[in-house]
This record gives sequence, C-alpha cells and structure tokens, in this order.
Amino acid sequence: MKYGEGSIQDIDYLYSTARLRSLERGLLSHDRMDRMCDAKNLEDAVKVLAECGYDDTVPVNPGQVDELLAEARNELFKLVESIAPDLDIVDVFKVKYDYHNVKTFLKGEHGGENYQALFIPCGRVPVEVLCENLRENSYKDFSSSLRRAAEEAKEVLGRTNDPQLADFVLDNACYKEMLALAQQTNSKFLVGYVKLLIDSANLRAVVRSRRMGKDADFLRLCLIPDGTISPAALISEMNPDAFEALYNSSPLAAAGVTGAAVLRGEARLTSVDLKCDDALTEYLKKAKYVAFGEQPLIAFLVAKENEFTAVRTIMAGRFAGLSPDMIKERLRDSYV
Amino acid sequence: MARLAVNPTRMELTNLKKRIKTARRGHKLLKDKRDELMKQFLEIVRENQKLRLKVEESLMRAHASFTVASAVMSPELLEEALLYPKQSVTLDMDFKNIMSVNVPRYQFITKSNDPSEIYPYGFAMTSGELDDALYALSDTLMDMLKLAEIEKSAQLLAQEIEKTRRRVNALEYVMIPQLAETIKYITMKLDENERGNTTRLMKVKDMMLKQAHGY
Repeated sequence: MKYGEGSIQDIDYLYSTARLRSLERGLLSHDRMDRMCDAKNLEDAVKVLAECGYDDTVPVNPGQVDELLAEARNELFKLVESIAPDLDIVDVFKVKYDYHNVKTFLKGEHGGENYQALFIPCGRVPVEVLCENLRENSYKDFSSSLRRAAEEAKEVLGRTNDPQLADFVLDNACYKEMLALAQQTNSKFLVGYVKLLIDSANLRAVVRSRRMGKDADFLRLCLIPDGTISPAALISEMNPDAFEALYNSSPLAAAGVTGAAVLRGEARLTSVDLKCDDALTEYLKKAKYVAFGEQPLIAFLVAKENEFTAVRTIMAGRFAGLSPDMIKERLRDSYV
Repeated sequence: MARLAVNPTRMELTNLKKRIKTARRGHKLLKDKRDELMKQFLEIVRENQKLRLKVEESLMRAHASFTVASAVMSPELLEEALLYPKQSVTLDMDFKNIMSVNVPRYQFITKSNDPSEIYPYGFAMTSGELDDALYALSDTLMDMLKLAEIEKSAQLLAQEIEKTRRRVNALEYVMIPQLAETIKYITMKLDENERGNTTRLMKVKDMMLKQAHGY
C-alpha cells in the first residue's frame, strides 16, 4: 500500500504516533547516557537501563549485553510491525538484515566456518528459508534485487575469493533496494533519510579508501550511486578542500569537514563515523515536530537502533574499564 | 674425591694420562663454547626484549581498536565482516647454525603484496575503527613472526647452554679430579712398589755380602 495515494493516510498513523510518543519517553536520552557513564558501578548503570525498559539483571560480561540487545532488537521489530499501518516502511529497515544474512551464509559456506550464530533474525526472509534458498539456488522467497545481488556475490566470491568484492555487490544492492522501497512508500522523509544514509556511507567509504591508498577503480566499486552527491564527483575530487566543498550545502557538512581533516591527517577516523551518525540523527529530529505521520515511526525505529549502539558502547567501555570521558566522546547524539 | 676402580699398572697410568689430557682439552673447548653461546644468547635476549615490548604495545593498540569497533558494531556484523579472510599467508622455514645449534628462520609470503589488501569487508556496514584494528594487527604480524623466531632461538640456545654447562661442570668437578686422583694413586703405588724393590735389593745385597765376606 502506498502512503498518501492509496488507503494509507497520515491520519492512519494517529495510534502509532501516540504510542511511540509515549515510548519515546523511555529512550536513552543524553542525560541518561551521562548517568550511565558516570554511575559508580555496573549496578547503578543497569538501573538507568531499567528505566528505559530493559531487563534489570546486571550482566557479568559484554556477551550478556549483546544477548540483551539482540532480544531488544527482535522486540523492537515486533512492536513496530504490530503498530505500523504500512509494513513497507518497516521493510526498508529490515532489508539490511537480509543482506547481512546472505553475506554470512556465503562467507561461512565459502570459508567452511561455523556461522550459525551470526544470523540476525530481523530480515524480511526468515533465516531458515534464506539458507534453504541459497543452498538450493532457488531464491524463490527473495526479492528480485536480493536474488540478483546474492547470485552475483556468490559468483564473485567463487571466482575471486575476495569477500570484499562480494560485500560491495551486496552493500550496493542493499542501499538500492532500501531506496527503491522507500520511494514505493511515497514518504519523502524516508527517501530523504535513505539518501542521507547513502551519502554518509559514501563519505565514510571515500575517507577510508583514500586512507588505505586505494585508486579510483576501487572507489567505483565501493561507492553507492543513488545518493545526492554523485560518486563521479567524489572520485574526481582528490583534494581534501574540494572534497570538503562537496558537502558544504549538505546535512553532512560537519562530517565533510572532519573527513577532509582525516585525509589531511589532522583528525581521527572515528570522528567521521561520529559526525555522520550525528547528521543522520539531526535529520530524524525533524520528526519531533510532526504531529502524526510516518516520520515518528521511522525516527523511533532508527533512534532505538542507535540506542542499542549507545548501550553497547557504554557497557563495553565500562567492562573495559574506560574513563567516563573516554566513553562519552564515542557516544553519538541522541534523538531525545 | 673418589678415585676410579682400576689396577695400578703402568699401562693404566699411561691410559689415564691420555684420558686426562683429552678431558682437559675438551674442558677448555666446551668452556669456550659455553662462553660464546652465552654471548650469542645475551644478544638474542636483548633483541627479544625490545621486540616483545614493541609487539605487546602494538597488540594493545589493536585490542583497543577492536574494543571500540565491537562497541560500535553489533557482534554479528563484526564477526560476519571478518568471517572470510581476503589476505592469506604461507610460511617457509629453514635453519641457521649458531655454534652447532640449529635455530629456525621463518619467512612468510603473503598472497598480495599490497598492504591495503587486508580488509575483507565492505565499508557500508562496518566501522572505521575496524580498519585501524586490522591495520595494527597486520603491521604487528611481521614483528610477531620475528619474535617467534627469536624466542625459539633463545629457547634452543638456553637448552644448549644448559647442556654445555653440565658437561663443563662434569669435566671440571668430577672427571678431571677423579682422573687426577687415580693418576696420583697409581703413581704413588708404583713409586711404593719401586721403593719396596729397592729396599728388597739392598737387603739381598747386604745378605749376600754378609754370606760372602762375613760382614
């Protein structure tokens, strides 16, 4: 069903928006993140998590935190699917898990490694069905994009033994499919978000590739074509100043400045990831001022996924014995 | 010092004198070998210490980057990214002779000579910290291999030093004193026999003179 055209209207989101607005109060805010970082001990940090609706059992190792977050991720998708009037919007966010599962299967089978624990059961295709389809080369439960990408990645991996090339094929297809699905929903907000996501992925890919000393041919393989800034422009601009200028009028301007600083050797790569994620959160904050519609749903979904990263960062930092300041400097901006 | 259980004969004495000469020569040679081994060992140990500190520092750096990468990425994504390697390494080994100790020498050959060909994942779903962690590990690999070579050499040299030291001590404190003691014993015994003979001859001479001339 198409938002705005068919039977789905923004007023259909009244219930989901109201529900999510109430749940937003339980999101991990900046204040709560600071309290977790500054907490005297792990028990106090877990108390803050309990305020956000997590289990209050104190984890004894980072593995238990990961289990907790994996469970929370599954719950999140169940919740969003139960209240979203248009499931196509949720599918945009599930696509990446399908592609992750395909990557896991292909690499695991090719390398003969044990990979069963690495699947994420949040994709559109259930993990067992996905594995069966890939094993039998039938792809009958796959979308056409996923099918094409899986076939190509399998062929590339078999021919070159290069998992990076297979990843490029699947990552490109993943973003293309996310954009196509977003366009099908007719939500400008979602299309804008996916395009920003592509721009952010391209920015980070350019900075990381150039740091590795890779050439234009390599960039052509790894850049995703459907963002607001064309890959051709990114490939041709070798100068950090020109690279920075490309992002001047984009929401990723700060990330562009930091990326250029990394290319000049004046900043750390971590700060680029941080600025990109902050720019995405800033985009999502527009949803705060929308009374009802698909925007709060999209923003909540992404905010919750970011929250999982924040919780993992804080807890991993605490387990590693890092100082609160060191943990805080790695935390991304919060939606609430 | 206990002496050897041998017959106190001239033949045995000659044999023992030959043996003590060989033992003293062997002792000197083994002592020289031990000193040279110690010199080589100390050089290797100093190099080993420097390299170990360097490797441990690099590994800590890699570990810190991995900690940050694993905090930012979910464990499934992180492990999937590293599930199948891009770069592969083969190891060749030959031996070098140091003072008759065969120490190993490792040489490793990578599939690709390009240092940037170590990243087995795409960039869209992975964190930049992972690049740093992998680079730090890849950078340390050469040093780790050198460290393995040096530590094995030090271990083999230490074993040889221990063996040589035991031999030197056995010669110095057991074999040579025993031989010397036995030689002394045989010499004394033979001298004693000689003196006994002389006395007997003098006594016979006295008896014969008394019988012939009535002295």
